Amino acid sequence: MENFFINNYFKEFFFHLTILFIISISAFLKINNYFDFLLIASLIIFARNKSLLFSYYPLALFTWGLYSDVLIGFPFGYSGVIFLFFLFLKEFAAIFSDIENIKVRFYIYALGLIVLLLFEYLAISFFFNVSLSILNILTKYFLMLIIFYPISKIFMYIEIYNEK
Amino acid sequence: MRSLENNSFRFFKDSYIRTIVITIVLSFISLSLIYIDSTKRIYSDTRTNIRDTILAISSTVATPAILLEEGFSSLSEINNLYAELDEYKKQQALSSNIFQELSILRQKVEVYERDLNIIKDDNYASIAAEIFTDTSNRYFSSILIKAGSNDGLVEDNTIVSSKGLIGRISEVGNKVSRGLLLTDISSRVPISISNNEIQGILIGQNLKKPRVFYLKDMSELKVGDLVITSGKGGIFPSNIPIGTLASKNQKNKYIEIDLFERVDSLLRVRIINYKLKKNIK
Repeated sequence: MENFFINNYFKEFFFHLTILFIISISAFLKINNYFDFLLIASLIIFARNKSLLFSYYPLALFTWGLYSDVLIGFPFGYSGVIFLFFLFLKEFAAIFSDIENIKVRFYIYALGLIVLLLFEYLAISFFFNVSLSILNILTKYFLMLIIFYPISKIFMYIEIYNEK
Repeated sequence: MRSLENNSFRFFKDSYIRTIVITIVLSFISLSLIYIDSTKRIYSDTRTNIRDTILAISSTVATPAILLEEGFSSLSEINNLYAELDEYKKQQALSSNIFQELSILRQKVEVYERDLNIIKDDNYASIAAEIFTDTSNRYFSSILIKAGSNDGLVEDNTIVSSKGLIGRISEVGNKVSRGLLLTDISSRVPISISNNEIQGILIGQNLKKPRVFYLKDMSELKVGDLVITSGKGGIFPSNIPIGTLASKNQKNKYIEIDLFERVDSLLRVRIINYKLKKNIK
């Protein structure tokens, strides 16, 4: 039983259950006015080191994206593109640092958030002809930077120290 | 700790490159889906067909978190109970006077309408339905309502509360439908500002106060003016209260509206099946 909990298959199952839980609570909890659960799910994807699904992992994230879009009412593909963007960013960060080097990963993550913010802002201005309150969005992005360290530490503990 | 060379070597391993390529391909597919969905809405049937199943799974998974939040909100409500009771007593005293005034006004309006032979378009069916959940997030504002095509709902039905307009039905499932709120960035409602009958378009900004654009004349408008639906476009009935004028922005030519209804405090809504009467007496 003890081996089961540090088993890679359990970790894979636990990861997907966490993503499902986060997507689900984003539709049912009122605190989603302050926290953006889609970004929290993306942070977990970024903080995670590796998946047992290997090349099928992006496909799994794409499917979770469609699930989130149907549940929350985003346009089809919206959540998927965010999940895949952070997966790509994670793979990009792996070139420069390993999972234990949180500082470098933090800078890459912050850079990714800025790119996402600009891309979303321009897309919404273009498609809906609406100029959004940038301060309101920045607050949610800033909260993500605050929780980056604790989430990274948790995943570092789950993925590395359990293997030692 | 792995070195940069080691990581560079990893970069050229097949599985790594395969993952990157699949990620990029799926990202492009996702972007194409977004573009198609936001321009043509061809997936609405697929979406509504699978949503009921997804809702059942997600509501089960989220149950512990929902119970926890309900517990905290119950504690908060108990804390506010005495203050709310005092407020309720004051409102009750006022409401009897308001009801009498409204009855007199309604009688007068009926007489005027009869004399002027005005076409009445307020004969529409309505149902009350519970709000399943508020799915608003950083860009989009919508609610899920426990009623669907089985209850006779169709797209663009108007959603109102006892205080005023809330939005319209944007997707209809068999048992659950999605309501697009006035604060959503894709919401557009033709409005009229009652005292002067100045017309404009209410556009959601995903903020508490939506804005009205395309106003011809802002000089006569003042803070506190009543904002109602104009009925233009045929989707919303006319004269449904929306809110009051909160502020004016002369430079960018828009006004902000204080909505009468806050959706986060609502449990039920009324859905109106509005159809324009075309026969003229």
